[in-house]
Amino acid sequence: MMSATEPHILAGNILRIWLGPQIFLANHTHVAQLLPVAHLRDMPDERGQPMQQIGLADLLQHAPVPTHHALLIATRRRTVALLVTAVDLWAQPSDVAPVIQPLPPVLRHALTHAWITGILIADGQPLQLLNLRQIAQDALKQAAQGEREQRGQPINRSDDLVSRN
Amino acid sequence: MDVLRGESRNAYTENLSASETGYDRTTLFNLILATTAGGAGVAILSLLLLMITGLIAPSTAIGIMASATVSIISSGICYALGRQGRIEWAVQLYGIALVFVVFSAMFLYGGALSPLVVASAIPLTVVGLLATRRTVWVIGSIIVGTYLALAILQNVYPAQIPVQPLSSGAEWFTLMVVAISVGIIGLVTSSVQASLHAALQESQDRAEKIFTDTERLLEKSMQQIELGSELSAAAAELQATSQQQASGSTEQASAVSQVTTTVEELGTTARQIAQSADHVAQAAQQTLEYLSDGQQAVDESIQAMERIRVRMQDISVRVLGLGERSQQIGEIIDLIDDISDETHLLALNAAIEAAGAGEHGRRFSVVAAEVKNLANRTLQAAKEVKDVIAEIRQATNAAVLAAEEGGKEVEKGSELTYRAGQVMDTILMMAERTAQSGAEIGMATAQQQSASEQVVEAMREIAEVARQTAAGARQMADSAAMLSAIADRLHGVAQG
Amino acid sequence: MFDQAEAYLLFRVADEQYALPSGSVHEIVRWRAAVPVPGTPTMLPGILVQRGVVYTVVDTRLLFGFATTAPERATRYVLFHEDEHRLALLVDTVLDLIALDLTLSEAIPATLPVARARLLRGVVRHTDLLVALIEPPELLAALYAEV
Repeated sequence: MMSATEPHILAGNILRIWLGPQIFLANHTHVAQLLPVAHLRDMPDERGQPMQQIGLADLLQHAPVPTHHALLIATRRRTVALLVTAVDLWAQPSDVAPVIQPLPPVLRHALTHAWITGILIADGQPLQLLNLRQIAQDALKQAAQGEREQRGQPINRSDDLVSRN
Repeated sequence: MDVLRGESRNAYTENLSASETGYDRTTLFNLILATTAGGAGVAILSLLLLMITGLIAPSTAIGIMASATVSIISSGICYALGRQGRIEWAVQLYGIALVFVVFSAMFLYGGALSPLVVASAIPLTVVGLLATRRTVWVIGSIIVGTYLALAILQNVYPAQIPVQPLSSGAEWFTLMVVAISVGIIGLVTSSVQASLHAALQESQDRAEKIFTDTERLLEKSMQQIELGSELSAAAAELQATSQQQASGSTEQASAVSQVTTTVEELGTTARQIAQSADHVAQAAQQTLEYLSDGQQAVDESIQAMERIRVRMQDISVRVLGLGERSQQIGEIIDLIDDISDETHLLALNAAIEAAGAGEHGRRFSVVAAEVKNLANRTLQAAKEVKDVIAEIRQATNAAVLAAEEGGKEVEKGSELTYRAGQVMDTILMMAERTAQSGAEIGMATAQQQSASEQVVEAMREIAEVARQTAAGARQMADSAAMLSAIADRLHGVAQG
Repeated sequence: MFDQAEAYLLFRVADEQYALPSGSVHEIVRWRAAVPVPGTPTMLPGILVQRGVVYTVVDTRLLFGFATTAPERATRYVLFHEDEHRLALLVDTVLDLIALDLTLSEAIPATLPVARARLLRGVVRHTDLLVALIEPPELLAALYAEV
């Protein structure tokens, strides 16, 4: 395993993910399936339960964006559908290896989740590499926690949620 | 007795005087005068005879002769008065003169107890015959008073009033004179009585004749009396009517006079109106002239406004162009700004590099500092230019705004001027109408004036006619009054 | 022209003047939009790449206890190197590279808020300006304390 603090070469195909106009990168091995959001309807997960759908922009506290594509992320327990604006395969220049810069230490210190694993500089622009698997797991955890809280104190929490919305 | 008889005579003669007075009385008086004068003449002749024969002292004779002369002269004066019809005066003078003649003669000849005293009966008789009762009383009182006074004076102062002793011849003479005088008077009186009787007879005849005439007249009058009363009533009616007509005519005259005055006033008023209308017309004409000037001025100002508007638009366009130009300059300055910024940054970075290079970078840092200063100066200059351009743009913006405002104002001004022109047109029209109306009023009032003058003339004629009518009516009323009086008299005569 | 130890970069944050030792300053660049990193505080608006190096943008206004403002024409990034840290300090404007006589430095005014006072080494009068001297390690320490 390579250190997150050292620049390293990313192997394999890289997915380019649009959240509105901003581009993020992700390792395609994290993604089980890629499909349009419209196809998610009536699609059950492995346990026959309805698919957990989470807006990636919401998770990243990004500004709201339109969602057309869904990235199906398989975790140990279940599959999560992360909704994004669009996804494609990043066509990396063949002669240049995709060097992943580590996240600056201040940012590492500041971030609560280890969702961004590094930065790839393309055409002078920094592109952040997302750890989709980690994001999916954390999202499931948050959802479960939310459900538990909802069950424990149904009335007050629902009020709280409504007010938050 | 004489006095009483004289009074009755006097009353009779006075009665006669209403019809055939004057002649008989004058004739009688002349007769008396002639007798007196004749008596006096006889007395003078007698005295001359006595004086010559020595029967009488010459002084006495001369005194009596003077008395006789006075009586002759007074007879002449009385005659003259009688000729003038002043019988009463003549009688009084005659009486008084004779009384004094008698008394003077009496003193000269025999004093208070002289037989000449009897002579005073002569004038008294004459006066009693011819004068009124009052005169008779006055002259009588004078005779008695004078006689008593002389008698008392002679007894008290016998020395101062010497009395000539009366000779017997004188006494005879006096008696003779008195006798002659009384005889004459008696003669006269009887002749007067006779003539009076004849006159009375004649008067009685006449009265009888008148009576018979009156009888006949009375019969006629009896017939006329009804007619007379009718005439009287008709005359009274006529008089009343005439009076009414007269007063009506007078009223008509005064009414006409009032109407005339009113119409004259109307004429004056019309004249004033005509003058006023003339003034109005003149004023309107002047207004027209002024207005034509004003219209020209308005037209000129409209044209001027149009020129100003075009000029304003031109200015607006030019100022807008200027604004765009300064915008372009601003863009260029932005570029300069950018370049200076970059240069400054470059110089700064170079200086940082040089500072990092230590001794090796020292020379480079000098160049970097120079470049940086240059960039700073450029920045400063660019900033100043930008400020100026900002000011210019503000000014041009303000100018554009002002030009737009000015344009609007000019539009407004043009509109106002156009409206002023329209108003002027309206005023012109109205002034023309006013002038026309003034002329029409002038004409109308002139016509009115001449009409009222004609009316006044007609009224004058009417007034004249009314005046004549009134005069005629008055005359008619007078005639009617006379007629009425005549009718009344006729009525009275017929009845009486 | 001047010794390395004496060279300072003079810049302005809000209406105050600050100075950084020129040795810790790598470059000055104009402001450009940083790429935001999800899940970071507002004091760290994003990252920049300058000459192949990733810089973490720090909003010095927020770090120094001022209210943040929208970038302007004069807004600059001061690319700051300290150890392995690469920071792009967002400042209102960079004024000049100046030489400061540190013997003239005065004590930090007691009225200065702690948010600023903690970063400073002292204050120095330069011409008619009062310049606060920033101590780079203290700056980093303050940053880590905040984020």
